[in-house]
Amino acid sequence: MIQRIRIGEREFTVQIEGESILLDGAPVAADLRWAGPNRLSLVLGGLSRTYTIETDAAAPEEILLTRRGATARAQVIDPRRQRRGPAAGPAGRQRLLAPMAGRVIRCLVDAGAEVSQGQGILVLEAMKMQNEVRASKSGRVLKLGVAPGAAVSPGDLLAEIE
Amino acid sequence: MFRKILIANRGEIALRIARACRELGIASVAVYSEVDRAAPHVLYCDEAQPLGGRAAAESYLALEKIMTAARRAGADALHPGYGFLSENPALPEACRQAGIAFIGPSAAAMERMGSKTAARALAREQGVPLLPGSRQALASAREAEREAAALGYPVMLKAAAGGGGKGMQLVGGPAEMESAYALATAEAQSAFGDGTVYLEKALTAPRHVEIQVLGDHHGQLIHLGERECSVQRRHQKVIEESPSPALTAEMRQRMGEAAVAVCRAAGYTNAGTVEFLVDAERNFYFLEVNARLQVEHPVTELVTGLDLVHRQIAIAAGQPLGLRQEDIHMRGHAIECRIYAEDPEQNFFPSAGTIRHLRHPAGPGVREDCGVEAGGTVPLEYDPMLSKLIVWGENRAQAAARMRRALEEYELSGVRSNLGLFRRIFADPEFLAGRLDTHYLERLPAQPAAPAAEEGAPLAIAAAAWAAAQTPAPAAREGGPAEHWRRAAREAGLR
Repeated sequence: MIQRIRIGEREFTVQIEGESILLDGAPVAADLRWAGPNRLSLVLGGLSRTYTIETDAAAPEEILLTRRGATARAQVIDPRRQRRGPAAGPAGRQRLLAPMAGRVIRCLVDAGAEVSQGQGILVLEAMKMQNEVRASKSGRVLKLGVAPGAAVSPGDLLAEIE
Repeated sequence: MFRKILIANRGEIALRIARACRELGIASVAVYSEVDRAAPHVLYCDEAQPLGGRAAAESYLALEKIMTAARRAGADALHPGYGFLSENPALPEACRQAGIAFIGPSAAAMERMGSKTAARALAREQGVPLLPGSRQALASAREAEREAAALGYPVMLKAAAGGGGKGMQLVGGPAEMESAYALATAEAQSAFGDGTVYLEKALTAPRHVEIQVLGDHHGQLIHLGERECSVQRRHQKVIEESPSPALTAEMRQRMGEAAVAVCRAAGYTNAGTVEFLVDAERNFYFLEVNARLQVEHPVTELVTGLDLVHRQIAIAAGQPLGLRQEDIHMRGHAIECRIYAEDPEQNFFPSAGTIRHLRHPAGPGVREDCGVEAGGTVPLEYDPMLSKLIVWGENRAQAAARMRRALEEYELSGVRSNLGLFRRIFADPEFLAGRLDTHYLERLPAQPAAPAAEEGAPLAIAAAAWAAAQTPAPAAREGGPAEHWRRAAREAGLR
């Protein structure tokens, strides 16, 4: 089975058939061994690398490989699923979603206000702490999805910024 | 000695106290809320009593429920841990009335220390240097503005009943006062059930240094040196270490003596902590007393070789301390990282959820006091601290290298955490040089200086192996990594 894997900007083809591994069509002396359900040991050119591998449920074609505290991302390019879904929301519009369940304490801006990146939009309380939810880009607040006192769940729309 | 101790807490500290109980041959009783039925402290303790309720106010903060549980279990002592009811004098008082020993100071001493304004008055009487500030609790934002104008900005608003950074707001000028006052009182109210705040002049770049004290019921009161806790975010300590890179032996002695004097004047017993701010000229100022065991007590344990929870229990049982000041020697260097479930990409917002994967560091000089397990959930009702990673080294450089190594070994997924922040800190030359103050984290570069990019080829091979293992083979559904692994384990077992 030939697989196309993207790491950052680069794309590789990898073919694994039993013990034989071809990278971009050339054989490589790589020794792969599973050391646990999601723990893979790779000995390549005398170097031992151990990865803990996971997939994110939200993005199943994306593979997270963690080694010595650093996590790298790899994408499996599935020929049957070349078409990529568009990014959420109309272009240039930012949907500010609740990062977790909590209660809206105060709104710091009104609908229509011009905000700059990093500016606090509202204050959410969760786990006894009050946290400012900030704009991740500059723009105009199209609408506020919540009012003070509202309980929100993760993913709820807090505000839309254009 | 006690037969049975009820632990009025949850998370890593409940587990840490339960471990001490087991070492001492004392039965431990866990209490739990509705969301904590399968939490590690409940699984570990010898006995368990339900409190009902989900929110802290209906469970771990519900004094009547805690006391009912203690009576029902037949506990002869109660350890409050930190947070929750640990600094509420009503708890030691309720214990006294129920004939249950409270493992901590008396209600009277706690009351004296618990009111930050009263503690400041006590320190003033003892001649301990103080930051200028309001002597009384503030009645309104307007009064706060008047006091602040007299003191000069910046000022710090603080919860009179507080601790742990909750209800604290730095105020740079009069325009910020109204909203800061509202935020501080609201947070103090929600965290401590008391919205009273006061204010202090704020130093521009102080270090936070605190002294651990230990006193028995026979008049012996000593200090166990300092911890530096300057690495803070939103007034919450993130890293603590002992000794402080800033202190000289002479300063340690003066600060230790000041701490002991304040505690002696308050009739303080058991473990407590006296917090100070240290300015750039190495002047120190009394901040407050934490009348309980601190989160960061393990760094003191590692450098002094004393077990503070064992000592607390022995003191509460009436045993003499059996230690003089000259018996205390600090050896080597210890550092602690507080691992929180929080999302660094979302302004460090708490991140609740299920721990999918957890791999702990190990090896020389590494201690972890962890309150979660793989497969367990992090409820959003409580403080999001997951674990404390503590290392010991012969000196600060070795301890820091060891922490860096342990952080590399640490794997956690399912909830977002601040592990990446620690990896950056332990690669930062400023931190490694010990140049710290409470604004250190604001200066920390967002990205590591030289990101060590993983080579593409090995990653691609590993990713392909994983992807191939995920795809069901046409004939038998074999080939998943779990299947490979099980087969390898079977073969190994047959050998």
